[in-house]
Amino acid sequence: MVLKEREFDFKDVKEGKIIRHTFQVLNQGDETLEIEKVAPG
Amino acid sequence: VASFDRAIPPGGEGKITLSVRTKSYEGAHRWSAEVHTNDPKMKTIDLYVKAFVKVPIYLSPRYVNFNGREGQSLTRVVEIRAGRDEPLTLTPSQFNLEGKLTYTVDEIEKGRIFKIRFTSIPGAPQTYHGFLNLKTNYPEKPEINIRIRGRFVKVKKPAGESS
Repeated sequence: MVLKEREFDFKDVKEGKIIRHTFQVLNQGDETLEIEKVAPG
Repeated sequence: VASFDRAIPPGGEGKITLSVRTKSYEGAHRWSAEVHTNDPKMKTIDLYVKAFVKVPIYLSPRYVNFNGREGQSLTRVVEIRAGRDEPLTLTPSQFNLEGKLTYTVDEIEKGRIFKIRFTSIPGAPQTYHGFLNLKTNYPEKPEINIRIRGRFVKVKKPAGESS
């Protein structure tokens, strides 16, 4: 698994807004990459 | 909240999307999400999004807690900062802890920074919850509510000492 970035900074946002960012995941292996779970902290 | 592609074929590209509702946050924040995969070299990995959440008025701290012993007088200070260029005005409107606390409002920097100083009135062991409301001149935030909690415990007397 290769990630182009691990952190994204939205800088200034107005309270109440929903912020959304998509991280790109590359599978450079020979097997299917399975994302089993993403647990927000 | 997270959404993601569950399976990515070899050579393929997938997505992990993180969404954060910023309501009730203020100032600098960083949110994380732990990603679990079947990649033996990267079983888990943390992703982060961060932002500075702008509000019309900043409160620090947002709540007041008094924890002490009976008869003790404690002081807590809340700083209020204007988040906009327009000068901020504050007017106390409601306070329901009369007799338990006193407070003062000091304008540290005109229209920009205020300090609310709460001081507990020494008394018997007790627990209380209350608030101070302040009216503002900002239409998008016409009122500030400072919640206050107090817990004053009984002082244990040394063994053998009569009360």
